[in-house]
Amino acid sequence: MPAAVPFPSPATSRRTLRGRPLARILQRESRFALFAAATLIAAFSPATYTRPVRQATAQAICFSAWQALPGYALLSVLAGAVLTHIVAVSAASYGLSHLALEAVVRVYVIELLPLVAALFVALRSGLDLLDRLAAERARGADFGTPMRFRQQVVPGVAGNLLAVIMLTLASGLLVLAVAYLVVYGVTPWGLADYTRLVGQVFDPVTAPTLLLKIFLFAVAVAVAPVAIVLDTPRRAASGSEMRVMARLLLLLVAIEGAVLMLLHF
Amino acid sequence: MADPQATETPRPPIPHAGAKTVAMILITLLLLGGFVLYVMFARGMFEETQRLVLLAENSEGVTIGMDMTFTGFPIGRVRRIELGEDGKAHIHLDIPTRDARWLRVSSVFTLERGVVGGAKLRAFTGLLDDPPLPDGARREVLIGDATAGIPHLVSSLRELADNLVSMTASESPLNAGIANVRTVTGAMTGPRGALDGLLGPAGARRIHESLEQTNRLLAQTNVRLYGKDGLMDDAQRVTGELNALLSDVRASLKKTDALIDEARGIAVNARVATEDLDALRNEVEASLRRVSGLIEEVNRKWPFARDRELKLP
Repeated sequence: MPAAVPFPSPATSRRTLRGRPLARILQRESRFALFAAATLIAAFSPATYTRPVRQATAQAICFSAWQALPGYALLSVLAGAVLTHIVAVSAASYGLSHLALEAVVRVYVIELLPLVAALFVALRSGLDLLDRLAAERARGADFGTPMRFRQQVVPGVAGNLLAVIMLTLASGLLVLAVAYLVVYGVTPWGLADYTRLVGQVFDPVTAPTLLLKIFLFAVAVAVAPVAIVLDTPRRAASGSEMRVMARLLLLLVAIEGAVLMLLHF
Repeated sequence: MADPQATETPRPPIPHAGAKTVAMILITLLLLGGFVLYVMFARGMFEETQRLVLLAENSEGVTIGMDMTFTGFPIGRVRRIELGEDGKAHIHLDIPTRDARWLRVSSVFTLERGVVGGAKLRAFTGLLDDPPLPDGARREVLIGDATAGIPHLVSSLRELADNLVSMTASESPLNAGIANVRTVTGAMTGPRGALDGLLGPAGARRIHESLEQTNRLLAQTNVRLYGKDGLMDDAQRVTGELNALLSDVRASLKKTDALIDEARGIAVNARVATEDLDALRNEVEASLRRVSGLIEEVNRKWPFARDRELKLP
């Protein structure tokens, strides 16, 4: 674990910054940002993955991604089929059927699916990880030690990170296929038009921006829950789930807003 | 609230977690690579293309990546739009080589903007036998803008609104006409009805008097014609007398007919008698001729003074 992980000295911090809430918030968030950066570096460093860490990471990835994939993909496909049908029928009634598929791809695949996948992972495996770490921290576990950090924090981060990317890509591509089937039916003769439409939607700005958004969502979902280890044992024991999830939601909204600005302004 | 018991009941280990993780990572990389490749293919990155530059007065509505269609099929894609040194919009298009055969040197290109939806680039080729469009060709694009007529429409609407305002003003001829109509219709509700509205009170009064006089005249005429000892009674009596007279004439005519029949019988009899007289005369003439012959013979034979004259009875 990098030596620079800013584990707190909470008593000192609270004493020095008492009565200055804005400064306290800024200090807490900067500590969170440093912790997130250090965690990501650790998660992307091959040296982190010793044998026990690899096994723990494999378990985390299987729990976060492998077990969640079938159900989430099925739900995405069903929702995508229904949404595509509704949009196609509505657009046809206004004589705008040529815009239906583009609307589905732009709204559902680019905007909704990544956000829903991020929330799904956050509420499923993110909360589970948060509960386990909070319990450990409440018992006074010190995650500042490299061994504990690698074995208990990094696997969860890697699992959630990969789960968000995996679920978003899989469900997005499945929904693209289902939207084609709903609009054109089981025929290969619409593939050329559909491919051209996909090419128009995913222009040189949109496609990289979408990938960037998925990655940022994955980072937010992966890092936000493990930030519980920054809390004092007493605070971790008093229930920090709501605060952590609110911070995660705020992060997701901020990322979404930034991406929208990048795409449309 | 964190559950302190959470770590005391760890999740059961997932079997073959390592293999599943590797598969998951591979699938993720595969999906990511497939998505990138598919998008690159969809954007025509792997197609051999030729270039075409369209010069437009206005490139509003044209976007990077939009299609140019030929008979409804996309055959090209806008790659770049720039403002040229000549002050015109230069629209650079990539035309896949396999679709470039539809474009000839005589092809015409249009940029159409509808009220709803984006702009549309279209190519029209009338003579497919013409030489193919060369790579890097520059062509003017004809602009058809459905919204171009909106300013004219707005000015027309404004004129129409001004006219409506002037028509509905308090001093306008239309209002005066409506006031006149109101006056006329008000007069029509009077005792003399529509006549007051149409002819005015004096005219209506005169018409009214004329009608009254006509009514009186009709009443007098009725009395004179159909009253007791009126013209109709006289005419009826005269008609009866005429009938009687005609009956007498008919009887006289019948008698005349009988007389005529009798006269005709007499004439027939006279004709028969005349025919008898002819026969008698012939016989007399024959007798006279025989007597004459006899006398001549006597005279020849008798030599005395002769008196040849024969006295007929």
